[in-house]
Amino acid sequence: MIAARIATEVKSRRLSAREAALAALARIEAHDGAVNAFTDITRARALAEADAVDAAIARGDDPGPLAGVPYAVKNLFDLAGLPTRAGSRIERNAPPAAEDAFAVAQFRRAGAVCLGALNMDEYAYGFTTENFHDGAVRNPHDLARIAGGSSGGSGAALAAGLAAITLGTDTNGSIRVPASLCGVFGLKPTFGRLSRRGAFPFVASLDHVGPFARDVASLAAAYDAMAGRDPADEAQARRAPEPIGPNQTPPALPGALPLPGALPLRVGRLGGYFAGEGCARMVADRVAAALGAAEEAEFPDPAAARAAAFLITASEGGSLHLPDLRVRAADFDPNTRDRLLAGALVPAAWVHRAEEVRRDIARRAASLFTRFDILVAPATPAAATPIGQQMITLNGESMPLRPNLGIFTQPVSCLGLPVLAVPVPEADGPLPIGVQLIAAPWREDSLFAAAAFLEASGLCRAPLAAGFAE
Amino acid sequence: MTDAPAPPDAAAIASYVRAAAPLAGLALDPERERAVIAAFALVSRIAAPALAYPLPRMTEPPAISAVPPEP
Repeated sequence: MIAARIATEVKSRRLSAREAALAALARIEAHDGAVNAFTDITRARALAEADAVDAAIARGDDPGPLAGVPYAVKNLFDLAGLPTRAGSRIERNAPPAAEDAFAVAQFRRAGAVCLGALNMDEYAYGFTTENFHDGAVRNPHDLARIAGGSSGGSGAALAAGLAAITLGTDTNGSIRVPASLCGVFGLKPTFGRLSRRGAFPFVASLDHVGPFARDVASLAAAYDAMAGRDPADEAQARRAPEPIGPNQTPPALPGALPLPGALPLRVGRLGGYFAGEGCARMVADRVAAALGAAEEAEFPDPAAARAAAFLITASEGGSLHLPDLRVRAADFDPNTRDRLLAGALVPAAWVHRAEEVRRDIARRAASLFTRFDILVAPATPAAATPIGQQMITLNGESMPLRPNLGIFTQPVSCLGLPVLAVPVPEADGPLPIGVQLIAAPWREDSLFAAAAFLEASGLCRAPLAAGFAE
Repeated sequence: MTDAPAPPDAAAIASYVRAAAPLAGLALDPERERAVIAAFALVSRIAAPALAYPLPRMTEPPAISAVPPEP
């Protein structure tokens, strides 16, 4: 059941929060062995939070907009009482978190019920979630394939119906890549929009937190719940929340595709570097056409933006972990260790230049949004690849898979732009592929309007994977 | 335009990693050193478009701030 529906049922007393929590826990018990999305299940906490929601309803109190909604978080979010492992072996022996991350506390206040923590790439450095310590997350649409990463557990848990909402982080594409490969909606808000307090950092100058959901209304409810000024997070923009709300998305229009002209948004399809190939190109073209994209838009020097993000990531990530790399490199995931070691050696002149390139391209990109409200691009270059695959062929060139799954996401997050990944089911056989909707800074409202339009048209939707039907 | 730092060639990468690792406090055995040289070569290859990007000469980095500007 989708999140928005659960909250409605719980608030109307047709379903208790405890019943919803027990049903979710039973699904995890039944299916997570196949998917490997969860690393921690917080059963006692879930039932206590559910009982608190039911008690509030019994008293006649407002239980919150996410009343009884079972959710789970990437295991880099602090959950009080649990070590925040961040996908690593090293951190799992850390003391338990003293308090919840800001986003988790916001969800608790909104009445949501926390089921546990989710598998991820070690320290969020990866796009495949083939975690050496916890095992690979398996894509519910094909259990032999990757779920994407680094928030792979967050995408897979939703696609298998193990949670109604999940939270993740996105530094270079770590929400958008698993959303694409698992066929769910995912939002990377504007850089600085949401508090990151209590989320284990990867690259402070690029990290974002954000939600995943199986429908646009639930994604909006999750985003609204995560919002709020956090005086303790100095990286958060000093800006009041701008909630999407339940009434700002168009109602579902089953059946006919609405006329593109009905949507008062100027939409451009990013071309050139972002054209994509094969199924990825096809789904982006379909989404652009459905939104009435009238012309092609050109992103300023995306290869340089991607390169700048890559350099900043390597350097900041390597620097963050340098103390452990010096004394216990063997405890790192082999898939991340050598990249972090190399990142720790990146010359300062390169990083300084990357920061300048980032600023210059952001300045040039701002002019795009005088002509367009929404830009459309593929989220990933292909559908989910087999677990263990090392190389991918793009534009006729064989290249390493792990860093290149983010070629379309990395230039965009480098500039801090808000992006909503929308899923196109059965884009490549049974496999979904996602499409990025990109807006000007702080214009998440435009993204939600476009996503709701696409959902209502029937083009973008997130059905449970076959074999995981409720 | 500013002068772009040139990406190093493979031999220079190997020399650089061997020289820089101890300065960073990293003791790499030969196997690890080979792996890090390969990883650094990948960083160097992907970084090339940023290193070659034609920045305006007068670009001054703004004051460091983690908080993005208001629109």
